[in-house]
Amino acid sequence: MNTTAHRAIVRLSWQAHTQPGAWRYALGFVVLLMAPATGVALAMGQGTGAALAANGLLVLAALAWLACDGLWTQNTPTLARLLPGQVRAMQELLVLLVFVLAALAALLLHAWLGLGWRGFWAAMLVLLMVVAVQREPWLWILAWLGFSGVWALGPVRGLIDGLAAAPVPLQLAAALGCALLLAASIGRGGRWHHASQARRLRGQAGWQAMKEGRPMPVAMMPEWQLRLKGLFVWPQQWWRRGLLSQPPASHPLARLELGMGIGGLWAIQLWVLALIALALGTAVAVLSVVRPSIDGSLVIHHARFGLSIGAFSMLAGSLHTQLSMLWSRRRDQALLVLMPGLPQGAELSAGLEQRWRRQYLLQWALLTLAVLGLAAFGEPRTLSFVAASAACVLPLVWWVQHAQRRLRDRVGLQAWMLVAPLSSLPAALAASYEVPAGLSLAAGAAVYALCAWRHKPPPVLLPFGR
Amino acid sequence: MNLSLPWWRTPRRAADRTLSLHAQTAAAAEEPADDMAAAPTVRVHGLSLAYGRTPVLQNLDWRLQPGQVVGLLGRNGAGKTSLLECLLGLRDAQAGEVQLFGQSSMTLDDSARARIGYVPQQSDLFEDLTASQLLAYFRSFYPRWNTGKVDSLLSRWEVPTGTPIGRLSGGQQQRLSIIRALAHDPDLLVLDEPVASLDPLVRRDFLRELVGQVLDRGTTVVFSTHILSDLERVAFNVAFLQTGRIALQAPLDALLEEVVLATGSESALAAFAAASAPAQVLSRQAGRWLLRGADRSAAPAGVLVQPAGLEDLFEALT
Repeated sequence: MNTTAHRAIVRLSWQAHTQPGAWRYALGFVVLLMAPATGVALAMGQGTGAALAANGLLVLAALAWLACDGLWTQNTPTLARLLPGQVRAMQELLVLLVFVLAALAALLLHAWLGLGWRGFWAAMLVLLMVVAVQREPWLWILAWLGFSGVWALGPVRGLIDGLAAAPVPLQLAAALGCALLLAASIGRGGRWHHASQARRLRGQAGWQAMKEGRPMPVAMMPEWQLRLKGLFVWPQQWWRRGLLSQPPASHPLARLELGMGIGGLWAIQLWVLALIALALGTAVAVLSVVRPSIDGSLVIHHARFGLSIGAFSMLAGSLHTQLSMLWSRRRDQALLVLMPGLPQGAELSAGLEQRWRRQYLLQWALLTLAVLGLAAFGEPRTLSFVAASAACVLPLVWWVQHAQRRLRDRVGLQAWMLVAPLSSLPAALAASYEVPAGLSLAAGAAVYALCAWRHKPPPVLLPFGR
Repeated sequence: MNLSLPWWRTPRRAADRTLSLHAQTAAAAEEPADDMAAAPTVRVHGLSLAYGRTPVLQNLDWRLQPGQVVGLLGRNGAGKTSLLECLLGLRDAQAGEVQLFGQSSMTLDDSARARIGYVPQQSDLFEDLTASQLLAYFRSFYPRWNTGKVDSLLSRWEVPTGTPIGRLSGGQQQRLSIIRALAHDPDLLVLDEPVASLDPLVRRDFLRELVGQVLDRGTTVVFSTHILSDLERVAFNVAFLQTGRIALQAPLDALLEEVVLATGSESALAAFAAASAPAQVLSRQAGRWLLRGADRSAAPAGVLVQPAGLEDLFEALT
């Protein structure tokens, strides 16, 4: 056994991850769940020892996630084929890691719940699932179905109980089976490994593109995804054709958007919303025929969160895309300077800011009308919920542009991610008190007007950034 | 894992054996090796690869002898990268077989892997790591690691060792990739467009290093490039990839000496080719023929015969 190689793999597992900032995410996960875990342990009346055990399990889960992710980062087809001894060392390490973590988790579970061997096998199954979903992220769907109760968890519990009660030789055989499964999950550079790696790279490219506000690079898309994309982007292409048929000197800012690849996002958004409305309407119509006992308005009420948060996240997403393009790529910086007919300096900055603010307000108004129109078929509290969500999202454009003027380039992403947490609580409160839609919207408009009135520094001169 | 094989304990030097810096001719390439000393480092037989319905490599045969330096030339999309990937077992071919050091490239053992250095076209380095961390990682897997060479190259090529790789420029990442590939003194070095993003000074130094590697250790080198001037500096052999096959592989000096560019009327060129038989017509364009092995003194009136350059060969053979 080449222990130097093992040490190097372990070291790199903590140094490199598929996503930058993986440590921060893991820490956030632990901190976020620490209080609920402690609460559950204390609520079960088992004292501080149990609370410590519950928190220890959280830490173990985060460590398992980070360690496995670090291993997958190294398991590329090229290294698997060319780096001597790497695959074997990784297999040995993965098996060791999972068994050690399962043993530690079993100890904690025993201290907390007195589960004995059942704790070991439960932890082993969870760890196997972690390994599987990290290897093949689409397996999350199965895991999610399990958590959401679609799959019966009874057989799993039965399996755990059966294994824990089985004679030692059988348990050893099961452990050997787990070890073989784990070893087999390490890619050796074959066709399956290449396909898996390609999916992984696509996922990373998609995430990176989303963070930078760019569309997913076409080269990273498989054929089916390109075709699916065509279903959604045709209104944008229609808008582009219309713009290009105009004389070259006309609409310079719209042409700039075209060059930056962000023009006509509003057309996609409206089309997607129309598709959602169509799907929702069809679902309600079909349900009313198949199951007349189900109330259609209740279905729409249950869809309120997806409707409002989904639609307004799309809106904030386009805001993020527009702003990110000004900062993230040299190509777009060059466009700002070199594109003929474009105003320069302060005029360009102010022009773009005004244009995007106008676009945002118009899109917001259209989306609000559309979701309110759908919510009108729901219950009164549905309307309250949707209107309050819309009101919360309205001042976002001010906030983002304010930050942009202060030369902070990453606020767009935050705006997009903030939609759900920012609007959920007020919307839920408004729904519970059935606050009239007009009142919520008026409050949102007032906040926006106040912000706009208080905030009048000149915008930063473009191009700025790279 | 037994990596303690005799060839690591006794580093080979140029003086220890006869270097073959020239590629085999097509006829010689067909002859089977009769002993292990003459066994080719790379043997490709009947390799075919297609992407969907587009054929890329078609029944390709190729052999590289120990110590050969071969520049692989081909147009964009000709399949150079695919060929190099198939060579190393990084891509599954639909048909054919590749052997490296006498083993199938798909099932190489660790001792064979330790003898290969590879620089891919696109950086595959871990971007979170610094150069030092990356090199420490790779050092752990190779039984042979030339620390002196690594330190010297890092310093000469000015690669920052404490900065995350993701923050290095494209050229710096490329340099690091080359250092990583050279660090374990490989016996086979496969380089896919290694100099594309290097500045002229580093490029020259890299080529010098490459020649040093060949002369000191007898490393077999195969590299693809579009920079023909670099090829002329270091490639003792050139291989032209055309329509999925190696159209021609030959020593570069001999090729430049033997191939002529003849210009004139079609009838006069045909007469010249006939008079120069058995000269090989490599390409025919209107009024511009490329011939190999033609007798210059046999050129009829109206035919201008000039030495052909690598660019002419590239145009004719790819």
